[in-house]
Amino acid sequence: MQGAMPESVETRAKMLEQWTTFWRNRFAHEPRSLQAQRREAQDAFAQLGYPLSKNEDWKYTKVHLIAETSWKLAPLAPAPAEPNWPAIRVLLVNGRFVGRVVHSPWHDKISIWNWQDAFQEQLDLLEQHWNRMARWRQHPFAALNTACFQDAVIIRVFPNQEIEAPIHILIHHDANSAEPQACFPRILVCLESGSKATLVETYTGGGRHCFTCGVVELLLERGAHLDYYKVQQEHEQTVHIVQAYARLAAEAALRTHIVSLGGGLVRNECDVSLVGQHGNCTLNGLYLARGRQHVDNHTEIDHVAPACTSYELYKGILTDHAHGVFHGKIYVHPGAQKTDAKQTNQALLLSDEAEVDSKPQLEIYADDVRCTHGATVGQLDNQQLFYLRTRGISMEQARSLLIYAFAEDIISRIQVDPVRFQLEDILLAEEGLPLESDLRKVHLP
Amino acid sequence: MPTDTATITQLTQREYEWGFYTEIEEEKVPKGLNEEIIRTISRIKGEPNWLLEWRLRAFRHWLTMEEPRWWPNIKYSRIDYQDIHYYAAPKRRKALSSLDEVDPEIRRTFERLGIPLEEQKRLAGVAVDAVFDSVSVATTYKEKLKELGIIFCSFSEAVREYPDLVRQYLGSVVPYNDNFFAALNSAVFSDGSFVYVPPGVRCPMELSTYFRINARETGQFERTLIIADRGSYVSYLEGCTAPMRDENQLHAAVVELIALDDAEIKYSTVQNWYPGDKEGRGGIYNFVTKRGACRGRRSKISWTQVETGSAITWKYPSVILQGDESVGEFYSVAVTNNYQQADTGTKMIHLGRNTRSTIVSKGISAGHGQNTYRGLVKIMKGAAYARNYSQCDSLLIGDKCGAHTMPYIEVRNSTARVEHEASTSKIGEDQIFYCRQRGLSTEDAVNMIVNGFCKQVLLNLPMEFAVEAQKLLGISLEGSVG
Repeated sequence: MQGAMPESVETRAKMLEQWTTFWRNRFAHEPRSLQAQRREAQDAFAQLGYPLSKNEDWKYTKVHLIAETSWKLAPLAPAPAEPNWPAIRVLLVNGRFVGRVVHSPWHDKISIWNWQDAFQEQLDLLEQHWNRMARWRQHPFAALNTACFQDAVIIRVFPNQEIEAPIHILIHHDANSAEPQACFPRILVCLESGSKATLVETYTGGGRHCFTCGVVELLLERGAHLDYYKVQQEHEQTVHIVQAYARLAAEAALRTHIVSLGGGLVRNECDVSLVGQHGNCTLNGLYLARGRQHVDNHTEIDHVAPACTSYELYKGILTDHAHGVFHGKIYVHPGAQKTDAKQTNQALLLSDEAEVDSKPQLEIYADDVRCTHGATVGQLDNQQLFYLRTRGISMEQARSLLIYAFAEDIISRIQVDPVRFQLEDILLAEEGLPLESDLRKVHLP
Repeated sequence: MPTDTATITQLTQREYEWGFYTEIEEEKVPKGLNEEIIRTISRIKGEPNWLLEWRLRAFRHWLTMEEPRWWPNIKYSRIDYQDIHYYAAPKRRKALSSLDEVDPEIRRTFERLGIPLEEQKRLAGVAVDAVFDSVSVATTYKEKLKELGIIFCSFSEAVREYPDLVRQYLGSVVPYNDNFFAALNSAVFSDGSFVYVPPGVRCPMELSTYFRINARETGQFERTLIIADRGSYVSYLEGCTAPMRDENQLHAAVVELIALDDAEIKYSTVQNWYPGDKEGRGGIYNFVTKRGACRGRRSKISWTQVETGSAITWKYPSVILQGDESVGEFYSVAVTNNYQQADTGTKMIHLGRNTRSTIVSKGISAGHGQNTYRGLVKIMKGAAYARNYSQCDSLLIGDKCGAHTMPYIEVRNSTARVEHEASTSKIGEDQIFYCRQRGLSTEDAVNMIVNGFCKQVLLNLPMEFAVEAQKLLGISLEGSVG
């Protein structure tokens, strides 16, 4: 992972100048150790530059647009309306923590802080875990976030506690200025040993000239379980580049579901390190891309410790001029024996103007392993269409049903009902099928 | 299993069996690379001016290029391009009409390699254009092929006798500016094979060339051009071994295949060059550009390769599927042992409608070997109903080696169907146990399992090669238990 240098000294100087306003004297109140990290990240970004040319990790996703725009920090903005389903809810608007969290029934099980509270009350925790998982030394956008973030959400789940209600982080990008604006959501979740939680991140808002540059760090200590959902529904011209980094200690289990519906240039990264034995991770992903959307799902699973399993399934549906990219790497370190890794990537290409680029990779340095990957790109199965047509279903409806079924495979795995219902309705509406919510109303007593 | 360590050690310490060196007088140009050297090579070979100009264009372009070094799993010391002899030929080069006139030293070398040049006449079906270092020294069966109008000769001869054909097709599939090593080859290529099969002719025998690097410090820059005209068929065999040597030797060959309407080319390779000793010293750098163009409708190009040798193999035999309904195939077995590194795969570029491609790649890593499959399947917008199936399997033997799979899939047509599957595993203990139960020794069991693992590929080799390939696999892997 070598960041390509900007093409010339001139562009590099311009690039740095663009961001200096973000990091100039802004963080003087922070503890020294954390300030030092910001400075290192600045240097790392200056060194790495934008991944413009010949960078394998950015082969199919071009970020010239970001490099050419001069960004302003997204201003403070009012909180959006909260959804009505029950959850421990946190609002992050334009990268800033809004309001206070109410979680009284859970106060002995979980703590949630904003950045300022965290470094005043929990410096130990931060010094131990903050910025430890993000690969900001190699990744220019992780470096940028680390240098520029304004506020953060820090969540700690105490040992052996189970949080039944989902923790919902609503990340809203409020586009109220005409100028290009960037925001830097930053999240750290520590699940202490034996704890169990469900985290839902939803990304909303955005617009033309909006750039959401986020970093999420998930730490799972021994035996911890996390269900992680990311639902990205930003305006379809938003630039969305968010990296999620997870580290799993022994016997920890992580399930991620990353669903992309919105955004113009979208890059969802999900890096999982399995550092303890018998860790287990499942990555599910779904993206729907239309118009001129560009959706890049980039995953990397590092099998560092032996006897871990990973399972990955990513699906995409592309129409119009959309461009879908999948990069999935499974890296088995020397000594990570008994690794069992499976990766599947499927794309449904519904338009000749759309494009799919898929790059599954296995890199294996241990011999007693079982690793597979599979990738398919294609259209709807003619036999399945025929079957439905023989049952008197119109061609159009048959197609809709099959497309829905393709996506439902992922959506049905979502265990937070309100999120699942909402996504199902969006999909059904898109395909012109009767809404699940209407059906549910009928069947409810 | 207790035998593991012992057998793996045994395996990793195996010496190259066919390393020997033949004393023959050679004619060499001085070390180094500049326009003067290229002019000298061209003069020695008596080439026409257009070819010299082409070489020089390639050389000037090469000077502007940078040596590619971005493969994370390939490591090698820098090559000093000025420290190589770019041309070497056996000295006695009068015309040979029969095999008896071939230098007995050379013939003995071939015999030790088990290439029965003399027996070729009796073992009907194989015509051999033996390339010893850089110049063809013996060509058999020419007469018989001539009757059918098939041209099978050394590249230099083709330049002299069939300049129009060479000029028309040379560089039309792999242009001189294609990549660093192809440009180098275009500038300094010494010799190679040329095949032209006229319309409607089915070549009655396998055409075969044995390449062999022999002269000390001589880079070998082969150039092969095969043209199958409308409705013709040809099967071409390439195989090679090289003697024990300490310095790294560079081999940068270029192979171009052209299939016109309804034509079919089958190209098979067994590559067993000196892989370096068990410490990873020496060995051949095999940086090859192989590409075929299915120009015509319903044409077909099939690559089959068994790669067991070379310190570093860097090779992606590709097919450009231009004609509608054309077919591309790639079958590969790559074995890396000791400190060998292989980065190989294919590119299937679908341009025409209803084009199909199949990729079957089997990688076996042992010792400290690093084996990478890197392949591209690209479906362009016009390639309606294109179809691809790829399968890449890796087998790991020992815990110090690496196996990597890096397919690239790019699809721009909604009617296309692309499937890719890959798996990595070791030889199952249950499989060995099953064989042992039936009275097979562990070694035999491993051999059998490896052969079964590679069967899909080996089946695509012509008979002559299949035998050698199986032997090679056995030699490099016998006694290893996963």
